[in-house]
Amino acid sequence: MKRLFAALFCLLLLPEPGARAHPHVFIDAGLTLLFDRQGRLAAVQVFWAYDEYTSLLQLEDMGLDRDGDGVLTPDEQRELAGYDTNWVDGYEGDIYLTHAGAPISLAGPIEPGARLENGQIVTWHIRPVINRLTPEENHVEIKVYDPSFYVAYTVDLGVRTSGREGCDTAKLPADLGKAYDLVEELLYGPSAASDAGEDNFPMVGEHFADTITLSCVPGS
Amino acid sequence: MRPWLLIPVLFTLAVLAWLWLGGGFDRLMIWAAEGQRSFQNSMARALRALRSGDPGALTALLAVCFAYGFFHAVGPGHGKVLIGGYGMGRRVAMLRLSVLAVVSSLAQGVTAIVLVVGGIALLELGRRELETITEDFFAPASYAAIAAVGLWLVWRGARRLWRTTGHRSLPWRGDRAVVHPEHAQGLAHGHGHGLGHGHKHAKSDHSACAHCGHAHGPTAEEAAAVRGWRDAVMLVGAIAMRPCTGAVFLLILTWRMDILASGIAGTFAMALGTASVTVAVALASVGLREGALAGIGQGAGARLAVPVMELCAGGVVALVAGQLFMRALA
Repeated sequence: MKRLFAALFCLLLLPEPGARAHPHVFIDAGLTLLFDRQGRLAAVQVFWAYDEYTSLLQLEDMGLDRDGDGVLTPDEQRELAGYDTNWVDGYEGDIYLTHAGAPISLAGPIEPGARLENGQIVTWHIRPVINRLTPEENHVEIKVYDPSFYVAYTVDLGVRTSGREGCDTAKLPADLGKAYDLVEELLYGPSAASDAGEDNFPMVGEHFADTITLSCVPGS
Repeated sequence: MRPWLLIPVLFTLAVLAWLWLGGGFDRLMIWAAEGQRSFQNSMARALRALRSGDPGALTALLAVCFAYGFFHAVGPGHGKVLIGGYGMGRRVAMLRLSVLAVVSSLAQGVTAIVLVVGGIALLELGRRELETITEDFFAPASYAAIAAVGLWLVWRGARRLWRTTGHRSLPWRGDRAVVHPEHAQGLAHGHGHGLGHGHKHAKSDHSACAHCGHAHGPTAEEAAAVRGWRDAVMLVGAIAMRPCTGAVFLLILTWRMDILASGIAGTFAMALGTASVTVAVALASVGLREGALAGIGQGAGARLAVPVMELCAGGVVALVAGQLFMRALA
């Protein structure tokens, strides 16, 4: 009977993915993969559409759209552009690319822009690929995520390619059930206590990320 | 022995096992996260409508806030752990624990209001500073307080276990202060308490102090009552110490938009939404406890089960809150 109670407590109390686990900001991301004349992957243009609540917070913070009509003046649009590309050291822009499993280094953001669309702030910027590469079949993988999972990304604005024919992208959805299991495991599992105190919250963002794969027909 | 009382217990266990083994909790989490996302958008829409003076916008905001609080509590939210653990560990009447759940949620809302209105008006803090204060100070403080409540339950459980297993109670307490086997009788008895009981606690707290020097001392009942009242304050305090980030954001936003009164109303709606979940957890935990105890019946089993439950529940609460505290500090 005692065992039963113990199991019962665990069942009742365990499924708690931590106070900081769940995201506070939701972003719909979109990507345009930019190729150069040689057909190499040269840069990624990143689009972020913030949820309406975060957008409203940001607008009020910056004192924009005072009349609340959801339309920014050209001046306000200029002011908003680039507000989210002034990155602190160590921030990697929440986009991670690999080529045949090795990380692809990206330069910092350039050419930022922003607009307000149906209550959502949509921003964009370009991340040049430092060593341009020729994508082979299925070997370029892209994930969009915040490691700390403060921001939850979905790549719902679409992935496009530009500057080259014969390339295709596919999206492999994240296994959310597995991701939540991992959060519980890291927070309350047997190994949880050992690394408690190292971090505010385990870096689980990656496990919530869809995987985008890029495949190009060789020589196209 | 009342075997029929075990039926709801077994049913709840079956549902929990099904959720647990079948990945139902994951679906619950995913559902909660998606709910939060859509309500975050709806809240922004309601706020914009409110600013432009749409009729019915306030009602919409309150509804959305309530839903937001509900989804927030289904996902994370330590209030649930504590209330659930307390309900399992201590013998509390359902109504009283539910009232505690609602009061602690509302108090959490009040903390957010005091923090934001005080922070903005008196100290002219910005959003980032307020967020930092919430996450870096109030969150760890609250976790520490909750862990302390957990340890308190462990301590009490251990003490009772000590006495039950042959070590007779302290002379001034008498046997009645030990396990109360009559309390193990179950639901029928539990319902006799409730709200009125809570009020009595407040009074007996005073009268106990007035009679502090009296030779007889407080009776076991009175001691239990005073303890119950202190427990209530501790519980509410520990939960309320940490204002919800969502409420803080809402208040700052409405302050900026010159609709702070609506923000305050929304904060309370949010608190009630959260409370609806904690009340459900409270009812479930008390039901499980009473049902299980009633099923076991009286005698040695029940005498052991009560302190063991208290000890276990306290231990889990202390452990979970302790870990959250360590993480929040780092």
